[in-house]
Amino acid sequence: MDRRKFQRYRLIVTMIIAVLVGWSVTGEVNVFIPLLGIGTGATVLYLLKRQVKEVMEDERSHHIDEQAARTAVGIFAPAAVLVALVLIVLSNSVLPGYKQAGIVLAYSGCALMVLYHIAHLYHNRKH
Amino acid sequence: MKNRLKVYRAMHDLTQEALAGKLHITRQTIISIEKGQYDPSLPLAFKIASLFGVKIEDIFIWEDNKKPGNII
Repeated sequence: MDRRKFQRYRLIVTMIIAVLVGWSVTGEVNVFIPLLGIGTGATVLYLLKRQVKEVMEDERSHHIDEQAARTAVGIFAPAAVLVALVLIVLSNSVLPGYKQAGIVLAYSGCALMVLYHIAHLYHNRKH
Repeated sequence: MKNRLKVYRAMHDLTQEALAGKLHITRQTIISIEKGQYDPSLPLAFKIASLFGVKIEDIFIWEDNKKPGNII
């Protein structure tokens, strides 16, 4: 199998999983159905990837992944904290009911920063 | 970093895909190296030089923009 074919199959499997998860969230569906779908989809993708004869990842793609992750963390963490602050402050007056969302967003931003620093410490020692 | 990868590839009559296959990297990486958009790691640079039977300096050109005698 070549790379383009695998990318097409990956798109199809991802769409099916997305539909399953969306359906389970909106409808009254047993939670095991989307979990089973995710597990099956991941297994199918793993088996398909093993059939690809071309090189899928190399040092350049890893370098790009690292840069992209770094950019995403650099944007998301401060943005999450700022938006959370706005939601919590304004929940008392203009946006009632958004306090919970702000708290979850704040904790998510903090968790991401803690995780980033732990990973940074680990890789710093390794290299 | 400037390089003569395209020249050596042509000298050995290799397509980008063929060269990528021999080096176990993607064709996109070969394209990026040839355009000077990506500098390969040291192991990969050694691998490329070894494949063509030349030294690294023959393929990759280091241009020092600093003035001579100015270490910092």
